[in-house]
Amino acid sequence: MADITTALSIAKSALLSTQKAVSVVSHNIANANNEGYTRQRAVFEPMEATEYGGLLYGRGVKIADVERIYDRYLDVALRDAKSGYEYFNSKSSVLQNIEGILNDLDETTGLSAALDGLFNSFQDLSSDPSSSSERVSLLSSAAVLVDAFNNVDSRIRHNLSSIEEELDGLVDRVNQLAQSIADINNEISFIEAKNLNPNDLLDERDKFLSELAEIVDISTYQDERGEVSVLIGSGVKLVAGTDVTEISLVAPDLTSGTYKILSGDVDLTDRLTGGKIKGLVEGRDQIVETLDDLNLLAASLIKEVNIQHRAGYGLDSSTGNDFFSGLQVTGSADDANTGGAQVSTTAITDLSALTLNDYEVRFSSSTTYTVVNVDTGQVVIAGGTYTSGSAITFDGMSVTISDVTSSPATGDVFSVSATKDTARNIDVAVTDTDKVAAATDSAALPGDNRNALALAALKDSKIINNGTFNDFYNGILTEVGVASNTASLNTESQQTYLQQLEVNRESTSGVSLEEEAVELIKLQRSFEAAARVLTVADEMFRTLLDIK
Amino acid sequence: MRITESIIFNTYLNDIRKHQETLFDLHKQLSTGKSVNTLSDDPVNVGRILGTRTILSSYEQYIRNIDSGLAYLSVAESALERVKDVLIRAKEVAVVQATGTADARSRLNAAFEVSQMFDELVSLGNQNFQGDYIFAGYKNGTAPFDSSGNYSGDTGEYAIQVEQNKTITVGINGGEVLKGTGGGIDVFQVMSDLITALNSDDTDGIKTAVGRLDTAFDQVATAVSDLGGRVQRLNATKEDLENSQIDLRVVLSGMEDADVTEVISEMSKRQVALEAAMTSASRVFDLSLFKV
Repeated sequence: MADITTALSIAKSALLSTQKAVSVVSHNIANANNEGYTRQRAVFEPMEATEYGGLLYGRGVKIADVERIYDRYLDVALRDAKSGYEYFNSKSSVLQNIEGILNDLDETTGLSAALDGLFNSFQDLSSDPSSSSERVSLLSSAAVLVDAFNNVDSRIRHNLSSIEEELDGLVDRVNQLAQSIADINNEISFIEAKNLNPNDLLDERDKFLSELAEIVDISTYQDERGEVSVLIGSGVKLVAGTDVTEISLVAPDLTSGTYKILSGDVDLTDRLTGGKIKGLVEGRDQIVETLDDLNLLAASLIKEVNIQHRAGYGLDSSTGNDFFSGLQVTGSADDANTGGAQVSTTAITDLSALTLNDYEVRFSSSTTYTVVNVDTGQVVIAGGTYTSGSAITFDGMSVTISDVTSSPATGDVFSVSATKDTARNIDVAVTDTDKVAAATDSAALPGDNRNALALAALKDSKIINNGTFNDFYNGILTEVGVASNTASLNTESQQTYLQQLEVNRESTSGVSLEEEAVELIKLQRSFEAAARVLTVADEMFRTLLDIK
Repeated sequence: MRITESIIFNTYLNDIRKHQETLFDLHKQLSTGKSVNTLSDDPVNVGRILGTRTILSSYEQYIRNIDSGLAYLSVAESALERVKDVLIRAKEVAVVQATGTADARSRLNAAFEVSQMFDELVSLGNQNFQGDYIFAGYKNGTAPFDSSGNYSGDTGEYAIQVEQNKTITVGINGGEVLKGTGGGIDVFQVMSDLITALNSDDTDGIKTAVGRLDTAFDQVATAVSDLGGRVQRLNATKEDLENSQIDLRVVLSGMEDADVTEVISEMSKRQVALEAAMTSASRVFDLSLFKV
């Protein structure tokens, strides 16, 4: 049938469809500033025609679908770019903090100037070894150097602990996001089962995925029910449909070792390639390395200055005194040890024999151990016989391991270091200016300046890594500078790439208000036209009814 | 390409932010006068900059060492010059008293005069500089000469560092110069012998003293010219150091100082770009179909 009533119902369908389309347009306009919103479009479709008198007549229009305009490839590329950007960016900001702490480019402050200051004071002392004012000023230069070490150390520690907090927070956030994605998966599969398009839920899920990609690099795949599965660290499951495998952070020690990100028992750390977490973990590695170097510098300074200082005589004829304090041997049982032995005491037995390397005492049975210099790989003691409570002595230090709950187990490891925390512990040992040993001969007091000259000469001695103290420190700074520079250059280029992709995504999926305005006008006109059809049909009815 | 409002907005925002970042960096260079303000600004040169500063700081210290050495030497030199004067005066007295015109009475008077000179020598030998007795060797905490001219100092001669791995001896061996330890003549002995000869009216003794005073004078004069040599060496080294300092400062400045002209012209360029971006943005943001 194709009569006036049909025209009326066609006009009605046009009015209703246009209204629906206007609501889609207004939804777009409303969400124009909603980041991650994908513009939607009402898809008009003619209603099925009816046959009458051998002809097909259209029956009007309906909204067949409200579709999201988006490019799946772009979304994936965008997420990858975000992972890359956030990785470099978080690494770069960590390194910039360290740079700020070590910024010795200001001429008067910092470790570099303090090192120069100490050795210059030794020189001043050599010019006038009997003067108490030179001695007082030497001790204050030493105190300035000690403060510089302590300050750098405490700021680095502060940074390390805020990194740890941030990592904790990020790991929690990953787990929350994973749970949210799993929840949305559940809803989406429910709606899609009814053959509907859950557009806004898809947007919301994409937003979560995008935030997740900022934290860890992810890959996703979607199943036929519309549920998305998320893998992190190239192939480890985080979300599978509605199941979540939580990740966790293993942070054993603030200032040493490495942090691990675990998914169940799987170590993800080296499998991550992007995201904030990876950037923070790598940034932290760099900081720990820098701190290790600073500890080595402090330890080496204490060792060399003390050896020389012990050899000299103070104004009061005293000798064998330490100039600095803070050098000590630390030993600790590895976390993975299964035996019940602990390090009970440690000591420096011969200052000049200290290598300042790190060592491990490794147990091959509960009674046999090997001592290995970890830095050189050299075996220092092979096949030592363990007796609980008796000191193991090597390379100028001794460490005593004792059974606490039981004897050590096979495979147990104890690490021993003479540099750990030295930058924090370093202090000036001399308090009495008369004990500053400027003289080499106790019979030549007070004018003998030879030991002061020898102490001053340490500045130019090639002591660490075939360089002077200053060379070594400058090396630390260069390394940090290069790492930070590289990270920030990478951040910049990754940012440009990310912005380009964002423009592309926006170009495809973003809301253009101009476009919506045109659409609105178009819809308004067709609504007016449909209303006109209604009026005409109504007039036609009236004409018919008026026939008498 | 389809352009949406947020593309326009973000593009302007990014551009403006970039301009501002660069401007901030340029401002920093201007206000510090340095192009290298953080380690990552020029990591390769950071090590060299700090290394150069360390060398400069060492040079400054070496110059301080040299200055203190020079002050010490000038005090020693003037003390020894006065010793030379005393010896000349003593010789004059001895020459006069060695002639036939002198008699026991004039010699007694002369003995008194020479013993005053002896005291003067003792006090010159105990010359003090900044609390240290400069002719006492390492034992410079106590006066090396007692009133009869006995020496209690040692032979230590202190050295100062004037360059990396190079020291110059500044300390003076008072025993050698004034007491003749190590083969020389004992100035104090010569003087006290003269006093004895004068007191005992011993013409031969006085004549012997004239000759020995000459030897003593030569010994001190040699020491003074040795000091002069050291002063010259120290001054030459100081000049070298000062020249190197200038060279190093030029190198340092090349590595870390900002080129002000370049920074300012770059800055005005950036400023123009920033203003253009802002003007353009404000016009584009003003366009909207909804306003029609």
